[in-house]
Amino acid sequence: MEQFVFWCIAIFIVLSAFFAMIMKNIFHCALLLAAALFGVAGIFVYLGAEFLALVQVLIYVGAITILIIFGIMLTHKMMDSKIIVMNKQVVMSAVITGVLGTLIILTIYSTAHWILPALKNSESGYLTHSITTASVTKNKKVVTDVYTLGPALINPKKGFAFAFELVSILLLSVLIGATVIARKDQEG
Amino acid sequence: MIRYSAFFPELVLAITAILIIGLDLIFKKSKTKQSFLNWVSFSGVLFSIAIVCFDGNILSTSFHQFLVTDPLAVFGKIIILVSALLTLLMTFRYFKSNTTEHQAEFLVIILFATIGASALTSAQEIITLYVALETLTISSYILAAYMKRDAGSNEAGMKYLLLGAFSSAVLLFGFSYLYGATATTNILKMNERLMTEPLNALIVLGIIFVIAGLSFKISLAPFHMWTPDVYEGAPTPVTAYLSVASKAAGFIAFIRIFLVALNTPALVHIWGGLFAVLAALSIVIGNLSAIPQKNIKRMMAYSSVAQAGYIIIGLLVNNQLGLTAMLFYLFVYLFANMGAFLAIVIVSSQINSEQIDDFSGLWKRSPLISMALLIFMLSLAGVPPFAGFTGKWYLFGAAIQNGYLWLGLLGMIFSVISLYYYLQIVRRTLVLDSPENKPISISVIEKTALIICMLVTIVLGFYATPLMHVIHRTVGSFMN
Repeated sequence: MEQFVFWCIAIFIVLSAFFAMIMKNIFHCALLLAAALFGVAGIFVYLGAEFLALVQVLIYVGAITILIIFGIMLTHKMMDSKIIVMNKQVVMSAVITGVLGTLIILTIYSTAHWILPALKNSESGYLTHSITTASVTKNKKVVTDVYTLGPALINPKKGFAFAFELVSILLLSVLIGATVIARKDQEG
Repeated sequence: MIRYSAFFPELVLAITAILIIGLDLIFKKSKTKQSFLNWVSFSGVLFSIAIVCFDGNILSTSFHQFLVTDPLAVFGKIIILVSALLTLLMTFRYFKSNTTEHQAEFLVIILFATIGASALTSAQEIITLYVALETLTISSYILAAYMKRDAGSNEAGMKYLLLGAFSSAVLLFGFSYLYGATATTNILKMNERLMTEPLNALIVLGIIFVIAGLSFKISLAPFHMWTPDVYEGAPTPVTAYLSVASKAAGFIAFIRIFLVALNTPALVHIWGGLFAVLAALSIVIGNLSAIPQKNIKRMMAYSSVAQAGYIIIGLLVNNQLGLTAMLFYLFVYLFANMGAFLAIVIVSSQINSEQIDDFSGLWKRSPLISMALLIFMLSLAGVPPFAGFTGKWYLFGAAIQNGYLWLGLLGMIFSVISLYYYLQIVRRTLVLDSPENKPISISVIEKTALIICMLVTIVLGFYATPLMHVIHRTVGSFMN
């Protein structure tokens, strides 16, 4: 049953991502992208990482897709614009991604058996503990709630606090940069 | 026990940046304000360098071992901060001829990028390392696209953003595989786990992805396709910053990941071989493509691909000798490349051209700059007695001693070939004549910076003992 649920979600994601890529109407592409992102949230729920699923829906399905759709509505005539989805390199890139994809799938299948013991022995980072144990011991008490995730991110003793603060610098930089580039200047 | 002084250099930069934003808002627009803000940014970076140099807590960790202040971090920070300092200097000159309303924000974003690069050198954990790297690269995308009225800058920003985002994704994918194989994000613990773990496809694939993602950042061939267009289109100070600070950060990341986390006997064979191929490709493609270039920034882009190929040789031999050579060459490359770009900015902002042909007859217009270009180009080509020669001597020597004879020979042959395009610039500046005689003006501080870069490049060619002493200590604390 669990396997069945996983395969349903997986096929849903792959199909919607594929059609998001080849559809000629850019508005449909955006909707299909939202569907694919929603499927990823489903995978997170399936693995017991409810918080990540929530974040995925809020940020990716909610905010980012809405932004994309706004972008399309403001710049295109929504329904009748056709976009170019293929170019000369389509065969070449299909071959390369095909080979790479096969390689990744083979890798995953050939190593599926030993990942779990390695994960159980994990005692290193806080995040390691909270996220991976959830996927390994789904039937036991799940620890990926906000109460463990929050301190892991901002308590300096846990280590991720520095990266967390650095992200705020990154966001400030992006905010200033986006304003400067998008802003209409007075001169010229 | 949390040691907050681990990130004081970055904190100083952040405070400086926020101070500049605030001052920019408060005061009215005027020439005095801009030069005041320039000096605020300049002294902020200087102060940060002072903190790095005089921090006594060498070899300590903080944030649950996620940040480490070891000699390697200090060495990397100094290279990055000095190149940020020189970049700021170029910025002051660049904006005299290329106007924008938002010069203060440009300084701020350079400072933010430097925070990322500087934090990266002390990151001992792959999530921290990745966030630091992204702070650097995302700020660089903005900087590359900064001259928004210039089509070249737009193209540079767009190309860099699209390809850079893709390479970051590949890098993160590789990291997630390594995490999946070891169940830890700490670089030291990752090494412990990999020592006992049998070799498997997951780890190998992870290594390949990490190499692909990081090679993009330091533009090793065949991941260098973005380099010429971005280097040519971006504002020249940004080009200089990308070619030194950004690369230095990338090399430190390479050292942390490959010489620490992935340094197990079984894995060394895999990535050693891969890097040898990448180094050879970079040396060949970089040098050959640089020859026909007409635009000086584009030529420097291909030159920097080749230089990255030389430097990575120090990594792939995986021993003390190699790391010593690598750090020494990075230091030399900093001054030679930054000096060359400083000269290029000063000249091209006054002749309004970046074509190599327009540098003709420069010796009449500014003897100092032509002299400087001569020294930097010869050092980059590896001509004795300049420091570049000593650096290449160590690098190729390390390669030959460790069974990479072919790579050492290849490097030597292509160093000779590279003389051709480096000397093209020298020939134009010193030998050819031009109708124009107007002298090129140069400010006192620019003159000082150029002379310091020249002195370092010359002196390290003869007398490198103090620097080698520092590097030996760095390497000794790092590899046994």
